[in-house]
Amino acid sequence: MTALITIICSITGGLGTFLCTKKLRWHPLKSSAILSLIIATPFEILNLDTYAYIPIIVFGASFVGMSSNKVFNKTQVIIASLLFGGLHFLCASNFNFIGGTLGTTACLSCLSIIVLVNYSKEAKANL
Amino acid sequence: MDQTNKLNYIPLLTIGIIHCLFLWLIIFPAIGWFTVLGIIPIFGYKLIPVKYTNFNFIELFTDIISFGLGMFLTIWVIIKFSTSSVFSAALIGTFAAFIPNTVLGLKPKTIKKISHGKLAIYAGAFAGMTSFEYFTSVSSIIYITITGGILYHLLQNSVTGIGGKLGSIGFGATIIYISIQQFIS
Repeated sequence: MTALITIICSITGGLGTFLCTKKLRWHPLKSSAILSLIIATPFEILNLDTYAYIPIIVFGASFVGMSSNKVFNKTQVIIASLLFGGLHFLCASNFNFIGGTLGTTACLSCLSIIVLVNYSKEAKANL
Repeated sequence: MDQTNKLNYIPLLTIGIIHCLFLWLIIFPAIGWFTVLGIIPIFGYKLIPVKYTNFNFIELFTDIISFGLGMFLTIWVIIKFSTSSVFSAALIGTFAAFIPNTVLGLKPKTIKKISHGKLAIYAGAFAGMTSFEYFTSVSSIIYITITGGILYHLLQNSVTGIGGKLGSIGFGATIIYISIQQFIS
């Protein structure tokens, strides 16, 4: 169940931010912050401690969505968000103590996708 | 990356050190030797835009103040309203997002500098999400602020268009301070 929620939240955060930036022409900062605030507010008001990880994952995945649409397309953002979700799922216990861990995970996820896309292009060209 | 300018290696090394510290201190204790897979994103460094930024004292000062403002406000909201760190950082980020880029269609230099600082505010908000056990005194917040402002100034023209850069800066500022503090003690 937690894995499924992680997948849904990752895609919501990443793709939601990316689409807000692309379609609504918002600044990536605005898209990330507003989306995260919208998701975090009900959890804050209703004290839903059992599902406290949901806004954390959406917030972290929204950093993936802050990527430029000149670098990433929708599919790549979804894959990077899922990679972020996977890393968070595995390492969540170490994440909540030092600020910026979510952002660094998002950055490493994005870089991994850039490497994979680049090498798959090279491999295709060599075929 | 323009490899002819050797100075471009400085921001690249900075981001590399931050990521290595992250893999070593955060990921390694959780997944052990699978952390070796963390070498994959490091191959991506040669594919990302990296440009060394010359130090400009006024811009550096604006970055340090903005970073500190984001960090201080995030901590203040967490303490004052007993909110979660995510809610607090998102709230500060939302306020920062509404700093205008133009005034009446004009883009004077002052507004340009202030609007440039909003990203530093968001980076500072991430640093403010750190657990309070690491903030031993007010001076620790000041040290992290100065480190974060310098890191932001150094990396502002690098890793552009890649998500998570601001988080990496926030993490870098915090982890550098914590590492130095633990080394000294």
